[in-house]
Amino acid sequence: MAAFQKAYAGLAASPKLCLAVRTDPATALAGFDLDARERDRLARAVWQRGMDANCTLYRATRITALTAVVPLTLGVLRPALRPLLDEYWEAHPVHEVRFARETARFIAWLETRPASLPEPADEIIALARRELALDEARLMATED
Amino acid sequence: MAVWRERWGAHWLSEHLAFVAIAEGHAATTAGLALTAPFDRDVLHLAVGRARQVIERTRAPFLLENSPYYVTFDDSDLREADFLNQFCADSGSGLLLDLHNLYCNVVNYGLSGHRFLDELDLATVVEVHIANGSELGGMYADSHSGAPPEPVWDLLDNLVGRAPNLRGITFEFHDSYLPQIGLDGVADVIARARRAWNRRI
Repeated sequence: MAAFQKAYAGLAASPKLCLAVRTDPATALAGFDLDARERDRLARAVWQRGMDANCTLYRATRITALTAVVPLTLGVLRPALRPLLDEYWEAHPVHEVRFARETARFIAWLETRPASLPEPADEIIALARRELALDEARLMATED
Repeated sequence: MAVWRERWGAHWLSEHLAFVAIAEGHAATTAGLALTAPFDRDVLHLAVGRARQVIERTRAPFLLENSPYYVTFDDSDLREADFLNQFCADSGSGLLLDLHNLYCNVVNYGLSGHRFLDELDLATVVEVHIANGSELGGMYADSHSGAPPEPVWDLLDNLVGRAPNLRGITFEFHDSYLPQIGLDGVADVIARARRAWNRRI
């Protein structure tokens, strides 16, 4: 069941993988240790409308952390946001439920690709760091 | 969970029937959403074991909540109602019956919500959720977006007189939708839910 769960979660995280499974399920799912029933189920699932909804829900969940912690940064990233998020989620498909950790990871990832960011990239990253610090300070004040 | 139960004085604990934690070596990672679990015997066995563990460690009653399903597995070993009945019998848990989640499945898959209630052991139902939803990617989703639609009230009216262990009705509502229905709208939902509650056994 673990392999099935992993492949199923991988499909929700990646519309690209869903399309690959539609085209050639055996090859696309070869990296998962699935039995025949599990493979058949997922090969059918990618044709269901509900898989689109799953992919949307996955993305909504992941962007919620960033929207909550670094809203201004997302605003200035807007022209490049969609491809950036696609690339980030592909590089880090596992969702980090703690918003601050997810955001810190996103900022660290942004720092590795300044050329992909709108200008001035260094100021956008500095803004993100300030927003994260502010959120952490707010959280600590709440806990006190 | 035991600490949180103590801190909040929770009368019971609950969780959805879904895959949310994915095995990764000896640890687990999060799926990023609640994935519909197939109603299979091995899933039942896993869920029963987890519920027993929660009950033992927290000393609190545990309720399993039915989920809306966006992807279905029509070759599941069991029907959903049979799965939930068996889960409660084997684990000593109860049900948190989310009538709007049930309604999502009615809208998306053409099920009969009232027949589903007939198939459930309603003595296991301890808490009920009501809510509203909205369209998401071609599906009707449980977005907690306002006052429950009439079919959800019909399900509630059908249920309350037949669920002898019902302890509460919860209106799930996301505050970002408050401008649409206003505080008076929220109060109207609560008043109507109270009227339904007063018709219970």
